[in-house]
Amino acid sequence: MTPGKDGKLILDFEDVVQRSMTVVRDGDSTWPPPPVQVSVAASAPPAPAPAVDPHVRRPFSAGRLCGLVAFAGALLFLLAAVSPPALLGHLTVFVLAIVIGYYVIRHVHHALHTPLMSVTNAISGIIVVGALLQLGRGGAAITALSFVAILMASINVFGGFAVTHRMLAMFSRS
Amino acid sequence: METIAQAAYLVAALLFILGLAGLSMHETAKTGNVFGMAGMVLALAATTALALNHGISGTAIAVLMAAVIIGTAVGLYRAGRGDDGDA
Repeated sequence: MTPGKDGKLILDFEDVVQRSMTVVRDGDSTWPPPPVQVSVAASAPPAPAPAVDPHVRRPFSAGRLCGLVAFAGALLFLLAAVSPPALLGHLTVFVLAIVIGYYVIRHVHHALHTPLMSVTNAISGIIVVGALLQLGRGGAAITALSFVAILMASINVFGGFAVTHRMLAMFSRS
Repeated sequence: METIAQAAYLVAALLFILGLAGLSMHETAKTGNVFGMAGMVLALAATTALALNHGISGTAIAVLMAAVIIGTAVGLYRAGRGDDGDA
């Protein structure tokens, strides 16, 4: 407001901010200021009706959906049919886990993405049971590896749950 | 014993699913975390019982305890560090 840097105040009434905050100038009341002219872009009519949002995928038509499901089912059937029995059990668990995971996580609240990832990381520490069962089954090398594995997984498990607890405590309205 | 452990694993898996499902809403988030912890405790207890049932040596038990205690300490320390840490 002092363009000359000499301490002399010069009001620029073309500037909407300075014009709006000035109440009296040279003995004349300048209040209220004229309405602020907003930029042209904002005053333009709102964008033409929300056209098809390219980010929202349209659901498949019934026919295409049926075809896709039939194709995927046939593929899975062929895979399962030629797989050994031991694999079949694991494949069953895997497929059901995919479906359950999809429906459980689908509608997660946006603010909860981070704690959800954190608790998922903690749960992934369940691999500690594998190391636990290997402990004391053989030589020193296996025991040492099991020790390292249990150590790492324990950090993951306990730290993961603790940090999730801390995150969730931040959400509470005090 | 194997059957009991399998049953415990099944319950633990369901608790994990409940935990993840609970984490998707604010109202149930804390309950979900508790479900996850319960599942982990159950699975760890079942596995430890299974290992003990297999008759592991005293050294192995000592190694197990040491690993779990050190891991817990490190994990809780890293998790509890406030805004003073640089992550």
